[in-house]
Formats: sequence, C-alpha cells, structure tokens
Amino acid sequence: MPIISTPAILLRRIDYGDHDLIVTLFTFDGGKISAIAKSAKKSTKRFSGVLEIFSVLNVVYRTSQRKGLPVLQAAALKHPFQHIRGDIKKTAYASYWAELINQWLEEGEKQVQLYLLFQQVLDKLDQDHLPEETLSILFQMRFMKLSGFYPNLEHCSVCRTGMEKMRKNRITFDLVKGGLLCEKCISGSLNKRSLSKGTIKQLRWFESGDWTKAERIRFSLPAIQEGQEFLEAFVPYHLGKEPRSLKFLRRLRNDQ
Amino acid sequence: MGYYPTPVVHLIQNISKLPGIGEKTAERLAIYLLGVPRKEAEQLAGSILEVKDKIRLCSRCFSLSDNPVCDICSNPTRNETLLCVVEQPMDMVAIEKSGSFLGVYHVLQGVLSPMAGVGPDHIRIRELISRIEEGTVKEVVIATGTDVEGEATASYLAERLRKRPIKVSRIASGIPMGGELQYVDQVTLKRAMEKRHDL
Repeated sequence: MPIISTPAILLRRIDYGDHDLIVTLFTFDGGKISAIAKSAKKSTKRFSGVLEIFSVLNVVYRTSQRKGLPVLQAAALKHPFQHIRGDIKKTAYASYWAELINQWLEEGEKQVQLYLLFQQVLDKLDQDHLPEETLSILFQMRFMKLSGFYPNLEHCSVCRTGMEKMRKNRITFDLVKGGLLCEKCISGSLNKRSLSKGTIKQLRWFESGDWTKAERIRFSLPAIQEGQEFLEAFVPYHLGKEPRSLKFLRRLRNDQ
Repeated sequence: MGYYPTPVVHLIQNISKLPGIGEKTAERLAIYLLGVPRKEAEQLAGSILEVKDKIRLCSRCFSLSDNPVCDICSNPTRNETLLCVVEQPMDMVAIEKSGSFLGVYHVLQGVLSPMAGVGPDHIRIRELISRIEEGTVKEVVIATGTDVEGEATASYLAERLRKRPIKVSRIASGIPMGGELQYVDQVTLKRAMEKRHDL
C-alpha cells in the first residue's frame, strides 16, 4: 500500500460518523482525491485546526489496494488563508471557485497548472491585492482555458468575421455555441447574451494578462459587472450544474 | 439479517438509522434491548415519544424547550442586555456548563455554508435582527465555531450589526487547557499570541 506525500488544497469536507471526516483534496501530484481522515473531529494532535476548506496543506495519505478510500495519515498547514475565512464575501468567492474545480475535475487527474492558479487566486484574495469580482473573472477565464471550454471571443462562430470588424458596440454571444455571433448570423440562437466590445476586450486580457499589472490597472466597473454576469452564466452552463455557492454569492450581492 | 424474526429485523433497521451506528452495532444494541426488563424498554420508548411530543423551540432564543419560552429566557436573573449567538443548542449547553455566561442566548439553528447552499434565509438571522431591534440588547457575543463556516457566519453577522448602536464581540480562541503548543495550528497560536493578557 503506497504512501504518498504531496501539497494539497482542501476543496471540501463532510462529516462521516461521529469522529471521522471525508475530505476532498486537490493535490499537486495526483489531482483530486477523496480520503478519509479518521478521528479527525476528536484529534487534538494530528488534525487539530488543520483540515479547513481552502487551506494549503502538506498531506500524507495511504492508498488502499482494496475498494476503500485512501486514508489520510498526516496533514501540515502551510497557508491557512485566515483573511478569507474571516470574511463572508471572500469565503463565498473561494467556495464558488472550489466548487467549480470539484465539479470539473475527475479523481486522480493531475492538473498542476490549475492547482497553481487556484493557489495564486486564493493568495491574492487573502491578501486583498485585487477586488473579489476582478479575481473571480481572472480565475474563471483561466480555469476555462485550462479546462478546454474557453469561449470564442475573437470572431463570429458561424462566418468567422473578426470582432473588430463587427459594426455595433454590443455583440451577441451564444452560450450553446460558446462564441460570438455577428449581426448576420444571430437568427436561430435562443440562449444568447449581449456583451460590449469593451467587456470582450477586458475578458480577453484576463485570460493572458500579467498578474502584477492587474493590480495597477483600473478596470471599468460596468465591464467588470457585465463580464461577471456573463461568466457566471457561461461557466455553470458548460459544467452542466449551477454551483450552490453561486446562489449564495448572488444573495450576498443583493444584501449589499 | 434473515436469520432473525421480523420484529428483530425491524428493530435493527430502525436503530441503524441513528447517526454513527452501523448495522453491526445496531444488531448488538437490538439484542441487548431484547434482554432488558420490559419496564426499561417501555421507559426508553416513552422517553423517545415524550421528547417528540413535548420538545419545541423556544420562541425567543430557538433553543430546545418544553415550554413556549425556555427556562433561560424566562429567568429574571439573567442579563437580557447581553446576548450570546451560538450555532446549535448543544453549543449553548456547553457554555452553560462552563458557568461563565449569565446573559441570554440566540441559537441560529445552523451556520452559513455557501457550498452546502445554506444562506442567511435558512438560519435564524432574521429573528436575531428583530430581537436586537427591540432595543434591550446592548452587547452581542458571537460564539459560532472557529471553522470556515463559523468564522464566515460571524463575519456576516458583524457586518449586519455594524451600524447598530450595540457592542458586537467575538468569543476568543486560543490554546486549550492541557494542550501542548507543538500540536496547536498556527492560526490558533497567532490569535492566542495577539490576545495575550497581563499576569
């Protein structure tokens, strides 16, 4: 029974019986795994205060040759991200991203780039380097790129007319096709969104722009709002399920 | 299971529905119950029915009660200006056992959890706000857990109560009595160090 040691981010935890936890970990070396942390709820030494969602850990787990779940042997806390857990808005955003990753990843599928992206956005969120909304757009654009369902924001999905050549400032985006539609090709599409050229350009920047520059750029607020609404419709549509955290996030926004 | 008579099978099935009890334990408990005197079995069955019939939530604090208003809320010696917010009735009992608090409580009946889909409308936050709006409460002590959900709930409540003319405090966290420093996580240690006190 091999023992594996790897950095990991805790995506989810659920109670199992009176004392145990089942944790879903996004590991650096082995992608997503679910493991059982025995006696985690009563342990004052091994797991005390460590197994909290979004925390970056160094974990050691033993895989089972039989059908059972891997068993978590040890976990050391590397980054607790305590400012995230002390802020309901940050917690809601981090929960949304964690749910997207958890829903999309298959068990045991190594995803180093996505791991690094998630750790980086959590770090920025914790340190207040960028507004939550901006970080969320940045995460979703790069998440889609890495996951293979990046939207076509360059040209019409039907006739391939470039976005710059489209006359109107507002351009239609087809959620089903996953791309832009020019004025001539709009008909027949039911699941549409309208985006301004400015929002589209800003979204394209978020996919590949420099993180360090993002902290200095003043993004247009209407474009951030429009981009956020668009991504929060497009990403869950292509994952096939709306994350629960997204409903929570919308409720929080209504409160403010 | 097929080896037991049907009533025993039913008993095993019902016991195994209890949290943390698997089929093996349920089997052992069922065989034990078969061996106890009838009076003892009747007392157990009666107790279960009694709590189902008599126990309700206190209309003030939402803790468990056998009256419309619980003993703590109806006790005139408790300090009504000091309100402690907890997640569950068991948390309230834990604080009561410590003997350290003489105010009144508000049980949220849960905790905010974005991933579990538990939002502000699913727990007793609206009732807490209404209670504070009555004007008696001068300080709210938020005693939700220190896990992510508990901390996030505390943050949400603090934000909602920020503009009101009351003091809002958070229960302290630190090194447990008898705890060894080497096993304490760094978040707890940091907080314990920040909140150190003079001797």
